[in-house]
Amino acid sequence: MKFLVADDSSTMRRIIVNSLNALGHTDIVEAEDGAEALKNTTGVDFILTDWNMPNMDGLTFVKAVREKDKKTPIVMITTEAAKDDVITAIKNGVTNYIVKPFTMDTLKAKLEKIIK
Amino acid sequence: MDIKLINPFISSTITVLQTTAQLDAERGKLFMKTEDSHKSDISGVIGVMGKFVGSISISFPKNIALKVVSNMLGGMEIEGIDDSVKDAIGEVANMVAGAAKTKLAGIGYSYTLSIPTVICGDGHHLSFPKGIQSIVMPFNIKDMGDFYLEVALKMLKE
Repeated sequence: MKFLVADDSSTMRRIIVNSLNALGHTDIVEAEDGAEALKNTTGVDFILTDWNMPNMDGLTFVKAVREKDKKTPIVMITTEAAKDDVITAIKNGVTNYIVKPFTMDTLKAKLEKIIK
Repeated sequence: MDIKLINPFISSTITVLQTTAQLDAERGKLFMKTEDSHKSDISGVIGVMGKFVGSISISFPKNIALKVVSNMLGGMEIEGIDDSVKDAIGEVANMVAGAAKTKLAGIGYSYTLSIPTVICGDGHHLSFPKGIQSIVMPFNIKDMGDFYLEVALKMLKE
């Protein structure tokens, strides 16, 4: 399974990638913003994206993906946890939602459940 | 500035440090910032805009910043303030402002966040434009020292 991880924070990408590695997933593409992520969606089976990013934010990225691809699961990993934000994200094609902050163990457990 | 605007940032700071870095931050007493009130080595700053404008910043001495980032990355050894530390402190500021955003939205104060800015420099001091009063909450981490949350907001006229 190939993953795409989009987050402008290299720390957060490292935490997410480490969690995926711990779950046995090593085929991972990283992107620093939505624009870079959009160029790297080919062959990807699962997308994990932040919301607030420079150049192209996560919501715009999700909308762009959904114009062509309705199936690939997209998980938003973000601090944006207000009810309206979650509704906006889901309406625009986000499959699941993980709110920062989290421990690496919590993230791992949530990802494991979602990926299954 | 209404104290009810400050409390969500304080509780979010404690939660973010505990959750991401397994560090217990004990809050001190709020004070109004002055030019010589406190200094730090690295600060993460987030601009906010909604019914109010201003910024939220979280400022650490070097030893606490390195400990926070090391713990966030699962105990990785970190020797000095490098790009990964700058990135992580920006993310800490982002998480504090983001978690408080959710709480404040619940009482009618929605706002948007900027991308974080990180400022480095031994013993630096953050300054804010005239007309925006900064309120500071010091926190203590046992055996490590103090770090500071600064909330500098100005209400906009309806």
